[in-house]
Amino acid sequence: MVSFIEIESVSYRYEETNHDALSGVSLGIERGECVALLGPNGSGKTTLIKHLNGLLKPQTGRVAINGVSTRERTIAQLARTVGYVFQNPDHMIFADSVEEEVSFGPRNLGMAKDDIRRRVDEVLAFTALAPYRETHPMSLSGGEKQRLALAAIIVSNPEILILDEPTTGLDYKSVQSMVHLVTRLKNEGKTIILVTHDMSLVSRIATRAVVMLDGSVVADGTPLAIFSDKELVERAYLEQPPALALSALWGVAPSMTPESLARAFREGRR
Amino acid sequence: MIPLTVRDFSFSYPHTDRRIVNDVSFDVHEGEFVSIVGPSGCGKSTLCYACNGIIPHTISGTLGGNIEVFGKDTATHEPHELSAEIGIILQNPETQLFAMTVEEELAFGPENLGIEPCEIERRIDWALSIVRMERYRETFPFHLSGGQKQRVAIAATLTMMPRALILDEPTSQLDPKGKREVFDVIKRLHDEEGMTIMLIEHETDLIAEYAERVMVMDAGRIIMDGVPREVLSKVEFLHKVGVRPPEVAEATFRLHREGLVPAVCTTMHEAREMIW
Amino acid sequence: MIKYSMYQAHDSVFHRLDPRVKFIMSLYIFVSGVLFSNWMFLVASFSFVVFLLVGFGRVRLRTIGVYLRPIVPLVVIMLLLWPLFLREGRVLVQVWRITITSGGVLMGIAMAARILTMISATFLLLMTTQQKDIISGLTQMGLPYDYGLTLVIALRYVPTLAGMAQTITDAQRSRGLELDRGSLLERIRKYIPILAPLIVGAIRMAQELAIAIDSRAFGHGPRTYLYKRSMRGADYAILAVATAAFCVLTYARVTGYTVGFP
Repeated sequence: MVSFIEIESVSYRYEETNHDALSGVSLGIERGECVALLGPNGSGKTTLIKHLNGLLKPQTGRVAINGVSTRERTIAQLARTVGYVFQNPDHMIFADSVEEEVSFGPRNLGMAKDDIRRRVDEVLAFTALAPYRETHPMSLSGGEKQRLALAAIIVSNPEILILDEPTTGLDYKSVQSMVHLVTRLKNEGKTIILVTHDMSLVSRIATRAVVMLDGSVVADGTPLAIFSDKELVERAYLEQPPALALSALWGVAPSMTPESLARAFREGRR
Repeated sequence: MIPLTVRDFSFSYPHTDRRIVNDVSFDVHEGEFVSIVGPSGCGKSTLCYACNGIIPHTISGTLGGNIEVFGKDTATHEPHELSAEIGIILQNPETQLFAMTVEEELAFGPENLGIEPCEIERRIDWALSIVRMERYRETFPFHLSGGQKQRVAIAATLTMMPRALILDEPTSQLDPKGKREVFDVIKRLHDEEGMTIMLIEHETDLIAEYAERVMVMDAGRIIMDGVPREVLSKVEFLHKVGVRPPEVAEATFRLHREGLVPAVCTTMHEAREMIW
Repeated sequence: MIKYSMYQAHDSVFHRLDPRVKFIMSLYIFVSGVLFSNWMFLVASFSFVVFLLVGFGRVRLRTIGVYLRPIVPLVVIMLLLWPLFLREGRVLVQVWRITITSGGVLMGIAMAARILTMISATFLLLMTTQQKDIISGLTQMGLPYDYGLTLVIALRYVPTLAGMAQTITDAQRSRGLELDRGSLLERIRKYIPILAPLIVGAIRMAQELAIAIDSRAFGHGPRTYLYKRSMRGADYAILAVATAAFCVLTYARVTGYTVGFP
């Protein structure tokens, strides 16, 4: 059974370092999954996701998207299927208007002008950026820029979405709107890979969590299973969602979010 | 002389009438651990810069009211005069460090203050031990992790021997390990060295655990000021303002509303102590 | 691999010399390279610098080669162009309308050796001295501290900016930007999505850095220095010898002593 995204025994070592950033990593991700990639900085998460859109090619092993090895495709070709939203919007914003910024990707990919216009309209509406169509991207707030970064990638309609720390540095309202947007994308059937430290994001969206440490995958399961493993949580420098600790304290069904905890509590006490 | 006195302070950036900080007044006393929370754009960072003289000297604008740091008026004292009293740690670990080794980074502040080299050595030893970075004295800071960089930034401020420290979202760019490392250092500075701390943060879970006093800021004003237990349990209020309550508070709030638990807790410790 | 710092960590005679002496020596050799056009002298100078680096600086020949590699194209151009355009001395080869003369060949060698001498002269300082020592040496020679600090920060931020440029390039390539396709003009325009965020990012970093520096008492008043080096006997001796040699050479050049060489 070949997975939609197939990572087979991939190893990668950066120049001038004396250790593998990735050593023999194997992973299969199916269409429509929402996978959270967890682990401390330096564990290889970023190196791994860069292999998914061809920015890096494996030194040993193979990465295949829908059966096609990434070695046989350029980054631009892979960009049609794999959208990579970088962590810092300031590292990609360059245009004079939001509209121009969002049109950049599709134009590079050779989309027809009418299609581009239509998609830009759809995506600006989706991310609630329509009022800022003519605005200079630099004058947007942090949360708005993050939504712009997302818009600029989903406009080309990639099937796979890689989100690198989508909520870092954002305030509460911006985090909520991001969670909302990603949930909708998940419901549209996109395959989502989430690199994050934000446990509230993981507990609300991810159906699967993969933990990396020192270039290898050390755990792979549901977020609940991962976070219930105290030894793993400590070893991989993860943070256990407080709701889970409270579940244990009150003796109710293990819950990852305050909402599900409240539900479990009510049911437990009935 | 108390560390910080803010009186009717307001500030607007040049070419705009909009006050980003609007008539703020509060005091911070010796040895207090104060935290400020608020949505993006509420003026918290601007307030930080005003408390060590960056505003109005490095960043200009229109000031109203006044701020005194250990008795010195920030409007009439340059940042370099205030640096020995109050230090500032910023959000981005990358742009606070600019020397070729950790040791030189830590020496920069006291060198500027004209401190004797042997005293500078002594201060460097002390600062490195507090942030637990003794092994990295000769390291090129570019090679450090985010958490390590922030600890070096703290140490580089400590060598100037300030009596108060302002930290503007010091952990927002860090992973959970780095966050813990930095919070531990802050706690150690407060508990063991008696440092006065003013911390701006989004991490309300950690603030509930560590801070003694929390102020909520919105649209340039301080709209609530009290102990963490009180302020961070007002879940609906915090939602409305745009501040994320501690997860423990979120969970207990829902249950408390339905009468299933006796009180809203803000930390795991409180949850454990809760009497039914 | 060329790194952000040329410093080679060894312990050698050169490593222990005061940075000021090394700076002045590099300058002497650099200027000599400019003053002389004689091929034998220039080849000798280059060999001398390499000898100093390897013999007294413990620098590996391979390392010197790595850092000279970027100017190899220039050296090759010198070796090829001068023989093609300068006609002087004995004719060596005549093909079609191209005449290669001994004068042309030797001039080509001389100019190539000049470039190599000048560049490798800088290695004397850069490969055997840590950046903080270079800056402190310059400051002690009279460079105002502000300029020294500017230099340190510039050097320190090279890897940071390089990293940012890489990230930006990765991000834009992930949006389908193909830098290796298109006409020359198209390709130049394609760099805008990389340069714009890079410049804005660099300016932003500079602003944040300014706040950090001001917050650490910069400009407070008279400065002390944690690290200050004084000249020792060996430093003075070598400086004296180098200065004497340089004076002799300059005098010789000025009085036309070496001009007669073929």
